[in-house]
Amino acid sequence: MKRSKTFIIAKEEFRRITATKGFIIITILGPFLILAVSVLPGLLSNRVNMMKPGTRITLVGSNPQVTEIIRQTFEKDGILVEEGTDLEAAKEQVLREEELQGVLAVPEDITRTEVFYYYSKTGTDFMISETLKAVLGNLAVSQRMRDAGFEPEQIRSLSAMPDLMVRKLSKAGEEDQDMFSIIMTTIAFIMLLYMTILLYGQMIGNSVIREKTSKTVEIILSSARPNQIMFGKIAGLGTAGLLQYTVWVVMAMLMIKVVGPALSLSLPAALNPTSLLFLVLFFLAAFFLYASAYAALGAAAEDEQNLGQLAWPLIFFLVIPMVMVSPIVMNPTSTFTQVLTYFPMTAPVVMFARVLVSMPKAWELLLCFAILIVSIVLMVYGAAKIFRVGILMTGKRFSFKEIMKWLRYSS
Amino acid sequence: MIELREVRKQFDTVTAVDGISFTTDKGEIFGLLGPNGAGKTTTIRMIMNIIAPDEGTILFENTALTEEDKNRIGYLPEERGLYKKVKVNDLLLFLGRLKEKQDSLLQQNIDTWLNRFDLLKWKHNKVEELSKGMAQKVQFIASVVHDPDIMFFDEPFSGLDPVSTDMLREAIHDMAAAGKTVLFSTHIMEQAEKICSKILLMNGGREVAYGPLEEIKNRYGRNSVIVEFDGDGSFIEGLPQAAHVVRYPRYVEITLAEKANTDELLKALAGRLSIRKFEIVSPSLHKIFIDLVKK
Repeated sequence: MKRSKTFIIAKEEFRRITATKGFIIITILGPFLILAVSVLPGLLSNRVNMMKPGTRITLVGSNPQVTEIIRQTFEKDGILVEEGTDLEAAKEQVLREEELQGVLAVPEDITRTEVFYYYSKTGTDFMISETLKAVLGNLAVSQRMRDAGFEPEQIRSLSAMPDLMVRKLSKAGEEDQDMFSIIMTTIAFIMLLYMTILLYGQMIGNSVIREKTSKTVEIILSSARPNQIMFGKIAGLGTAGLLQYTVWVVMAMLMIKVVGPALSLSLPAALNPTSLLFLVLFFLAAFFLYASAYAALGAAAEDEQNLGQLAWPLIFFLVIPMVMVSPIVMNPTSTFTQVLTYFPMTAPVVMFARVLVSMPKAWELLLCFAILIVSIVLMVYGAAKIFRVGILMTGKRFSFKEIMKWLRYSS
Repeated sequence: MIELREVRKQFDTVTAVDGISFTTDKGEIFGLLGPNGAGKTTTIRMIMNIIAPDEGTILFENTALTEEDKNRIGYLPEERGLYKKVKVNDLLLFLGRLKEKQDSLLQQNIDTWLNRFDLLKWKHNKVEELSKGMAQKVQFIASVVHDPDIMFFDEPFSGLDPVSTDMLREAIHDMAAAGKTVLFSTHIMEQAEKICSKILLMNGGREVAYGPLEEIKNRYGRNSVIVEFDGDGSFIEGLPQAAHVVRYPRYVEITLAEKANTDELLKALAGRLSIRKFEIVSPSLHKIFIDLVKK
């Protein structure tokens, strides 16, 4: 049986991509990076090794009792607490000494103080400032209660703060999951989607440009039609992408089914077979949309730099969901999110984010995929037209507008 | 085998090819000649169906070119280049596979051609490791690796050293001798003169001259003949074959009349003079081309 030329080109493209070191490294290391991004925040919130050893803070105007309580609180984090007398001198010292993180001004009467001031070198040492806030608040409140005549035992029971536990509801049941972890996992996943779409899109664009600038395309055109070249490249790269995703999904499943239980690791709840399936589906949809667009622009571009200039609308649509990730995750049913869910260029990433946060209704998913399939057909059709004209146009740079005119050329 | 009838192609305001017609036959080495921008590459691209002509007909064995036919054609484009990161053998195999040929046949041809061009030891090197001349020979092999019946070579000799040029010329001769059709374009007339049996001279998209090489030479560049002889040559000026005669102490230079050929002239002289030397000094294609284009 004769193999079709599209297939021959696809096979060659697949062979070339999968043989590169970059592809092998990303395929193997990808899951570890995702795991790192989704597990790391959990580790960080456990305050492990947050501050460098030897980090100090200075308390100015403190009394021994306050100093002792603060010292005890920070002791387990390895942060040293020392006393100072002059606030201005201490502030200067903070700027001079590397290990001195900040200065807390302790007022004489903490029960009457409305605002405490902590002067920090970075302003972002939330761990220290949040701890100080809690300790000083506790001290002030219990001191006030003591002044009002309560016994220490009463004070403890009266001031005990109840905790708030967030439990995520889904069809599968309740899960212990704090919002922070959900957002981090979602960001990690859509980051992966975004990176791979961008990577594969640019790969196909550059592959077309290489062929065009190396003039090899003329030889290939003497054997195959432009459509066969474009579809061959998309199919070849798509298969490589699918292979990569399959490896990742298999590794993730091993993690869920074998490694996780064996080491009794608490894995992010979003890492489950359903979301992995949707990850692959949305990757494929986005891949076909963006790869055909990139192939067309690659054919129209003069060189790789020119492709970068022409591809701005694609980058723009890819970046929107990334920038808007928190409004999307926080409020998956807002009008804004709805629009992005059904706009083809943003749909794959946005809908996937929604799937991770709370599963949309079946009709919403079906509508989204229907829109995507129609858009892919239109995009491929238009891209093929641009590709056919662009691939033979050398020696001139075209504007995005000029390229769009090629859509009207007849065959 | 290939026939073009009144083929025309316009790009925006420029008419790249303006009513070109020609026919090539089996076993012929056909030269598509003209300066840069004459429309040679556009013509070849139209024959290859890479771009469509605006007007006119292009026939391949009396029918329009099909995708199947493309597998019987070999094409060496004017602008040279190959994928840099791919090994020579892999590249040649890939390009051969695109012509829907079996790997076993392709590998055999690849080895034969690499050997012929002294490139066998570079078989597993990447293209970027080759010198420019070697890469050019590889590209030539790429166009013939599937053993095509018809070949289009766009400026095949440019940039080759004399040894490689000879190798290539020999290869082209062998292919024509084996009954294959070779169509090549060049702006270097000396090359065309050496190997073409038929030519089409183009300029500004139009035909300037077309026909068998010898015929064109006879038609446009009048041959001169230098004759050394014993006897009374005073009748030479009166011969119908001589348009113009210049006498030198030891010989005469005769410019042939229109439609006259050297054989006739020799016959006319032979009975009446004892000829010591009869040398045809043909005008170069280069000279003809310059004259025609300047008109």
